[in-house]
Amino acid sequence: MSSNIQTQKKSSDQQQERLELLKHLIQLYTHHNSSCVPRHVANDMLISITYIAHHATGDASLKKRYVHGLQQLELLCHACKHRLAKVQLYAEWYPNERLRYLLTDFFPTYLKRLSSPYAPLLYAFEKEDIDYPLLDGLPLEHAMYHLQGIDLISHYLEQLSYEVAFLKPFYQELPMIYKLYQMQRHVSLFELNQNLVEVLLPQVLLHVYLKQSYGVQLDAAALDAFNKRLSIMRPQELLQQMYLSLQPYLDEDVYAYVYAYFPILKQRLQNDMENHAELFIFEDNTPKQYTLQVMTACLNSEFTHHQEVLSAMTSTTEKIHYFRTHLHNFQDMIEIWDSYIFSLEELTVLFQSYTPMDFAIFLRHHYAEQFVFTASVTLDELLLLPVSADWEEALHMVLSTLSKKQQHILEQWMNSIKLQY
Amino acid sequence: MHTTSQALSVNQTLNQQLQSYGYHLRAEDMTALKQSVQHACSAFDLVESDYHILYELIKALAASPYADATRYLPMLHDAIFSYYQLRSLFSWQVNDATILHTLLTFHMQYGTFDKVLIKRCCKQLKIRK
Repeated sequence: MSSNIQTQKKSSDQQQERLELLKHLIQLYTHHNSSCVPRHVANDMLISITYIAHHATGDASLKKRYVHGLQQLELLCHACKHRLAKVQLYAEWYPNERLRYLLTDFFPTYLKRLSSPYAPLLYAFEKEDIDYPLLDGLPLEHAMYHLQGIDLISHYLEQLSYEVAFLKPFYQELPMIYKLYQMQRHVSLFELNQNLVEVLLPQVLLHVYLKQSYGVQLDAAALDAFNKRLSIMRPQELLQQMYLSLQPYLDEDVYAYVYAYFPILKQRLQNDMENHAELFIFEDNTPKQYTLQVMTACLNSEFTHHQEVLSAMTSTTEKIHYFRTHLHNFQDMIEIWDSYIFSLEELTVLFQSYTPMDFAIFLRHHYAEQFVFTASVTLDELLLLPVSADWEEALHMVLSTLSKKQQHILEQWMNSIKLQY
Repeated sequence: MHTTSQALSVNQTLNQQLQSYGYHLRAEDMTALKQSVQHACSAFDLVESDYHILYELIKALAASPYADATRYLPMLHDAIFSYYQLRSLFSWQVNDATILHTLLTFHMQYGTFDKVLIKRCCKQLKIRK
């Protein structure tokens, strides 16, 4: 009972303090002209109070946390200004209008406004979109950082400083690279919403791996040597080794930042086999797709190996077991089915070994388009879709023989799975 | 806004001032007037952090020649509604005191708190702005 009363008192005190802080912010906002503000402004103020108090440490009263939070935010603001000054030094290297705008206009203006007495009203908000993507923020979605206001700006500037550190050693070559990019893609990097480290990372990785030095310029001889090495190495190991060779050239935090892109790069190389234009590689000052083809071929060598093993097998059980244990990439699976390694009967047996969950994941990937605008897709709708390959025929046949209960479970899972793209 | 003890002391002070005009506000009247402020703010999508406007209106209308014992409270409710309607029409750059002064000046002239009066106030405030 007494603890209940204490909790109620604490909550009422906190409410009172919140109202006093709101009043203070209203006075600040209206320049002491009014005690009244539109509701949306008051809502923003309450968000600001919570945001500021959240930056304080310890378990004091709301007012004390607010005051401490303000001090912490001032320090953060100073740190941001320091970071911005450092990054701005290299603003000219970045031939990108969005980034230049951020560095020369948006960030300075935002941070300047935070030096004014109205800063408590501004810390929690950034009015404009920061529309130049970071390497760790691809695709550009700020929600993925779960940050807002000065926290987001601080995080962004910190990551950007890593990107500057990555590009700094070969900044003199950057104008030439931009020209090559334009030659290959017929579009200027200046206008693109394209991260520059993302463009150059494969090239730098290749350079470091082949020439044991940090740079971007590659020659045909080095690439030939690379080609020879490819025949004796596994693709995962190769990419891993390329990253390892990069480590000594970068500071620990910069390396960690670039390394975080490793899984994405690996996935891209695997997925974009037919879309070579996605990666930009050049050799002897000429944009080339040769290296990329070699790299993707290398990453595909594992797939080729599975294909060879499966072709050599005669027993259906063995084939199915090998397939189920070694192949997990949907694109690879479909390619195997398309290459007639499995007969129609074997495919039927294979699909009969699938659980409703296996089917749900596969169908969700394979018929992704059907799920885009519809909240719920039924199995019957999928079975009505036209069949374009033998394996699809076998799949539809097996799906139509599922029991009502299995179909219901499959539909439920299929519609509830959230896919990560 | 105010704690209970603060509110009581404000009520006492107000009633002392109203005494000379022959009015007395009970605690229920004050609660109803404060609710009226909240309703007006909701109606015009505003948030009020203080009751100083209400206290100013209570004092000013006590001196109004158009108010008497029966009309004083209804008039106060109308005044509150009219004030917040005007407040919502102007940004914070027009301060509370100016709006209140304009509203009361026109009230003293015409004796009402209606749409026509609000239009007159708007015109006047726009000219000032």
